[in-house]
Amino acid sequence: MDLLDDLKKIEKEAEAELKEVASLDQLEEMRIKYLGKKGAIQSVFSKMGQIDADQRPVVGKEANILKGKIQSWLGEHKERLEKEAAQKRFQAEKIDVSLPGSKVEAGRSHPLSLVTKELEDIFIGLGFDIAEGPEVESEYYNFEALNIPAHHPARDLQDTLYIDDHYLLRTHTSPVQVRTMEAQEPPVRIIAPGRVYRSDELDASHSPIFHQTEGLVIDKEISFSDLKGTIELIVEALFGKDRDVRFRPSYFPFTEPSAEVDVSCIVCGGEGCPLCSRTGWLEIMGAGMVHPNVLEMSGYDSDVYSGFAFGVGLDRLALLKYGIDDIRVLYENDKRFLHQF
Amino acid sequence: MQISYNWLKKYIDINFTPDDLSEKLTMAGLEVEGVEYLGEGLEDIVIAKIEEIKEHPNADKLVICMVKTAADKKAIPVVTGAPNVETGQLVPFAAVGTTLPNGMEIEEVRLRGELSQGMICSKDELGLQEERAEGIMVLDDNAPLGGSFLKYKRLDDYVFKLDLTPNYARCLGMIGVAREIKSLYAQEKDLRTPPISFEEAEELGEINDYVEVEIEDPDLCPRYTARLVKNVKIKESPEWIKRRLKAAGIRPINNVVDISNFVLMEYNQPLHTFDFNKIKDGKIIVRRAEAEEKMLTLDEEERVLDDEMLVISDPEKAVAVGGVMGGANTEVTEETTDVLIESAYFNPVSIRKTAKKLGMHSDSSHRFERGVDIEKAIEANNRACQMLAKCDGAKVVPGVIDNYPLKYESAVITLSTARVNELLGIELEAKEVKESLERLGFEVNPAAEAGELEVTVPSFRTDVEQAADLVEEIARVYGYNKIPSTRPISKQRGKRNPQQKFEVEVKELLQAGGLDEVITYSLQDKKSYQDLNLTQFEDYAKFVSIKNPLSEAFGILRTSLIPGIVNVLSSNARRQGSEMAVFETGTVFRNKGGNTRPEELNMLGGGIFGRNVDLWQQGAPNFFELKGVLEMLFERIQLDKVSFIPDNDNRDFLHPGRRAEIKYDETQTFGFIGEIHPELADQNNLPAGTTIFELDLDFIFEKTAEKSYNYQKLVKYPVLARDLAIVMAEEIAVGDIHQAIKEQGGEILKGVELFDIYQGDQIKDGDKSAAFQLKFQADDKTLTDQEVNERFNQIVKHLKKEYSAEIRGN
Repeated sequence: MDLLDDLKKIEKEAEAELKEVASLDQLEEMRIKYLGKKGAIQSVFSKMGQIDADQRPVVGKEANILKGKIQSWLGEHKERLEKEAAQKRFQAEKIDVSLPGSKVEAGRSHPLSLVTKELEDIFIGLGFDIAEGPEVESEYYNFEALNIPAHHPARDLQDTLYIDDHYLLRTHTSPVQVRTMEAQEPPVRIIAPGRVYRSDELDASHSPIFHQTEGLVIDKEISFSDLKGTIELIVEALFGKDRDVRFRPSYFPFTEPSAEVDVSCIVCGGEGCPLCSRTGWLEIMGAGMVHPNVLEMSGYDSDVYSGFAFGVGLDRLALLKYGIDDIRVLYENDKRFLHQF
Repeated sequence: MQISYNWLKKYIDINFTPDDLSEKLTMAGLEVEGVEYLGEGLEDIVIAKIEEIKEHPNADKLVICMVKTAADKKAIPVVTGAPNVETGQLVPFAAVGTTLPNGMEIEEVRLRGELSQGMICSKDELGLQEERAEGIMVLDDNAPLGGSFLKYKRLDDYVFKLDLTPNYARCLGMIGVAREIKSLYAQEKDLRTPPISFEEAEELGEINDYVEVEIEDPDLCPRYTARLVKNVKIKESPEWIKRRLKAAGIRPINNVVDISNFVLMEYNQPLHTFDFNKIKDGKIIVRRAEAEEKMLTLDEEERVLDDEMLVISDPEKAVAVGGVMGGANTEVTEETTDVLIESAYFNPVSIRKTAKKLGMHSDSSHRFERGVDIEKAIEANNRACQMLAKCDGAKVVPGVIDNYPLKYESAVITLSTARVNELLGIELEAKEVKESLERLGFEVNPAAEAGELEVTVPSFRTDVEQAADLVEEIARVYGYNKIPSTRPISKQRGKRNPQQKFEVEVKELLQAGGLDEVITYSLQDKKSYQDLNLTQFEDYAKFVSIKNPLSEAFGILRTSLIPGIVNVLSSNARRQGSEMAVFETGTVFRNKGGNTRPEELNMLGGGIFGRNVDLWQQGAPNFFELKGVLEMLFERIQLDKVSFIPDNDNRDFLHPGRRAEIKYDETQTFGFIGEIHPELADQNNLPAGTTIFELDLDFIFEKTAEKSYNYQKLVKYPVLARDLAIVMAEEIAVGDIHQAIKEQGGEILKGVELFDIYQGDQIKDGDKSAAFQLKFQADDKTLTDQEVNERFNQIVKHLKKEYSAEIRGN
């Protein structure tokens, strides 16, 4: 009996058999057949008593080597089979990645809010606070304190909606200037965005309800130069570096000197087109140095302090910025419109 | 204000292109709204002569005119139906290839078989009149054959439409505009005011023999001048006057009216002309009207006056509302022979009040309101006399009445050069400031203090009252765009205040919850509140009405955001929007009664339709989605103690079984959520199940503490979860059960979450089952099963006792 020969035979058989193993079950069967308690290797060990004592360590060593070998073969094969099985499962779990994702719809900001917030953030960066005031105003704050006395032609510039003899719907956000000056000492640096009202018939470019932002800076030594520099910066932030800005004399009762601010047309760049009525310029805001009467009425000494103010129409800004040609669209709130922003 | 370029050139010899002038005017502060070329489309119209008229062989009403554009050219056949054609007439002719102002292109055509190679034009076809003309336009015999029609008619002119702000009153006349151009752009040119000279008819004696003027109220009329022209023949004005007026947008009437309008346009001085023979005793009394005094004005309207208004009167009757409109009783008519010309200065405020009260805004009141040049009253009056004197036979009575009780005194303003520089951010010498102002007609002298100037305001600058006004003038001369740009130094850090930050955050959270922001009108229609049955809710009926609304649709201030939101939802639903979720933040207004200021509240409202994930099988997916968004909002802004309590009788505009008041601390209602009442939803084109909410944002802000995110150590002991499914009567609110579990669970119960609601075959009719997951955890140790079971059983016992709820399956 040559157990060493038996071992060689077992090795050959196992090697051949392993190649046929295609499943984990078969592999287990094979493990039992070779490595089990009654398996082939064990049967070699059990025959050890029948051979010479000096042969036993040799056979024992070889049998253990073979046992290890088969163990590692089975191990490797098992790993391979598991991998294959996993691959198969992954294949079966394949999805169509081109199918659409779950519908997660974030709500949108209204374009007017977008423009307002953009402006607010620009001004906050320039050291401005945000001030607010009531929409129902008194004659005093809306007109008189802004140097617009009763029976002055300047009242014609703004058609007013009245509540009664005392109160009206503010025609501009300028009353917030006065309220701010009354409430605090200079320096003042605020913007006041808000809703305003005029007795204007609703059409593509007019709305009885619209939005403005007022700006006010008061301190010692504030000049028209400062007004220009500030506004140029805003225009650049809103419309980009390529826009030209021009200031031309205008009239607001609460500023002197007063200016209208134009930017070169955002469509034609100044060549002239229907948007700018072929002038090449778009009127975007009114501005000026705060009128001494306004400063004095609010208790500021106009010999010591000076300041500038400006007012910009937010609806108009939104129309220009997004290329909207009808102000009414802003208030229709069509979902298809809102979802463009 | 509308000015003709050709007319303007009479006063200043400038040669700017129309575009250039337009730009210059705008940059001077005289904003040009539009420029119109009067000859637009008439460039190719030539003057032709009708040489011969032939009968049309195939039509009775048509003729064939043979026209020539030059004596030596071949005659061109033109078929026309115009009734007034005659041989020898000179006519405006459009040859083949010409485009008329109305866009019509002239082509060679055959009319009833006869060749027609052009068109003889009527006035309306040339755009010279609106209404349809009866026949062709016939030109005077002196029209040059073959010449340009527009040159002949002097239509080679540009009209500038100016939008003048109230401080440019001086530019409401041609001379004023010319002066402005000279000051800013053409200093070297002379201002050519019309030389005035005319003969007075010495034989008529002098004006005081005929006219007397008495001013009773000099505060309202500081100056009144009058002249008399006799023997005037009322007729059509000469062509040149009519042309000028038309270019200025004024309709010619007759020579007297046209001359007064001409002078108004030229001098910015409104004149009034009376039929002198209708003025009793030749006596003019300038006085306040009596209360309820009546007069018929030129426009045939009877006006009821009051004692704040100024009238021009004779001893018997009012003959004009001073500075606003004349009376019909002294109107210049075809029978008029003697004309009294008034050139006066009226108090601007008085004129404005009167014109407003009477609803009569005239060219005259517009100018008096803004202030005319009181010192030029006589010059303007003389100018009118000069022009009238040229009408055949008219005789000017020598002398002028000048009743001038309140003499004009020039304002003198002290101006500091340093302050000018400081305000404008430039560096001018006193000398330069002086020059700038002198260019504009101010008289400037050095003041006592060095660097200060004494500036005398000319009488035509009615707008200049103080130093700031002069600063603007200096800036205008210097050029706004030449002033350097700087930025003010700031030591301030800009920021939103806590409430502003809060609002930004609320909006962002609602958007994260899938709601679109909308912005709606805050002026609304009362009817929309009635349609939605909102008025029965007391707060919503506290309307603030607009005294002078544009229309019913904008008649009141909103008392709620709901009508605006409902309108957005229904209009989107109508446009086939299948789903929508929106919110709005904004002010609502509530009438507080009396003359007090209305209350302004900052609200948050919203609505949703078209959702279909029915979380609790209640058939109310919209309700629970919207509620979920609000709960998320409350959690994120750390508004605790919020509960949704069934709203039993407050808001009938909502579905009676699907509405809740949203309360703080169980007592203070700060809003609601609910499905719109099915009947109202139907009437308002809203999809069934549309759910809305409205919350008092100011209240929420007030209750929301400054947020603090204090780190809480994470507990390392395990969580033991237990499911609890109980059966109870269906009318029991699951929220109450939820609350009871929480209370009974005590410290170790860290979370309770409902995960199922069931009603159906498996349980008794009239019962429902609710399943919760309870999570137990102690902060300081691992809980044992026994500890958890004890607590769990305690909860079950409590639910059984208080709600007769049983563990499901028992």
